[in-house]
Amino acid sequence: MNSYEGGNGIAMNTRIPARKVSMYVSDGESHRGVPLSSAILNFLFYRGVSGAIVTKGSAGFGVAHRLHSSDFVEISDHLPVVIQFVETPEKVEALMEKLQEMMGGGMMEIQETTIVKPEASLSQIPRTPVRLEGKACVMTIYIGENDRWNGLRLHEALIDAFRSNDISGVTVSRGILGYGVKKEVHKERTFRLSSDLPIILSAIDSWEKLQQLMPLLDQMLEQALVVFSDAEIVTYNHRPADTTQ
Amino acid sequence: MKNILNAQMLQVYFGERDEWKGNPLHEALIEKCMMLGIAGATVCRGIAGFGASSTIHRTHLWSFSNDAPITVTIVDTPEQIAKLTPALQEMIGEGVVVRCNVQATRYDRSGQVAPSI
Repeated sequence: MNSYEGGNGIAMNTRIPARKVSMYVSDGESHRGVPLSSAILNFLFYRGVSGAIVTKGSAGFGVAHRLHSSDFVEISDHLPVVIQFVETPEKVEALMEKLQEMMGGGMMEIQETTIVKPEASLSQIPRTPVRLEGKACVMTIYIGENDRWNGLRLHEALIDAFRSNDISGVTVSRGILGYGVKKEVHKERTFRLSSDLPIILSAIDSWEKLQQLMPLLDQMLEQALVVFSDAEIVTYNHRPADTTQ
Repeated sequence: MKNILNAQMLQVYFGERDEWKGNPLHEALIEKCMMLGIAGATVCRGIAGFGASSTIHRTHLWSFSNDAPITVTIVDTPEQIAKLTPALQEMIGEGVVVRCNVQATRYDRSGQVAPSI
């Protein structure tokens, strides 16, 4: 039996109440000699806010009803800038007074929100290796090198399909000679790149997981042979991929 | 067309230089399979390996005189596989033949040939 453990160790039904603050300022505004958006971002950064984002608007108007747009040079000054951050209600309250003072003429809003998946630095994410042990199943698929599906090479599409279905691994080999459903001999020829050689995909996982792929294979395979055989996993060492690369 | 059945898989291991009556063994084996009406056979070339004689077989870059390991995989009904076994015993000089029971699903939606297995 194989057991897959959640990749990042965060419970799937996380619901953290939080507040989202959005501040609307203008590109030209400054605070003690620095652009207002940078001043606010610095303030949030050094006060330990977990994350903030500054977005530049391309058009807008405010209380003065003056249209600002990047489309026309004459009105492209004072474009809107939005600064947003999400924090716990307590933290937001602690920052509010100073933020209001910095904002000057701009508008600020607070929304009640829910964090479904908190941001975590990659080093904090516990990684459990995928385990595959005991009884397993080898699925071997025989296709041709020139087979295509939805405009993709069939063996590449199959790899993507297997990957999306969390199959523990697939190996693709090219045969040098063979015949199958079509009763045509496919033979390797030196100095020729396309001669429709046999392609063999081998995937190893539990019987159940591989059987679950069959409806998908029914759609993808036109002329092929799929073989299931029992296997026993002797060694399976797996180091989770480093997502930072 | 899709049919699922219990079948057997044969895997034959030998070297690329092995011959049968002056022809490469893997080509002769494929011909034999076709003559016996075996549903399909696939030949793969390994990149390195060793067998009973403990000689390392490997491919050499820029060389046409390779002696790489060769595997021939054959999937068919147990009756068909049984038909092939005597021929294998005659043809394989030095090598291994492995047989296992498998569940085979055959797809053919071209509508030309009715699959025989």
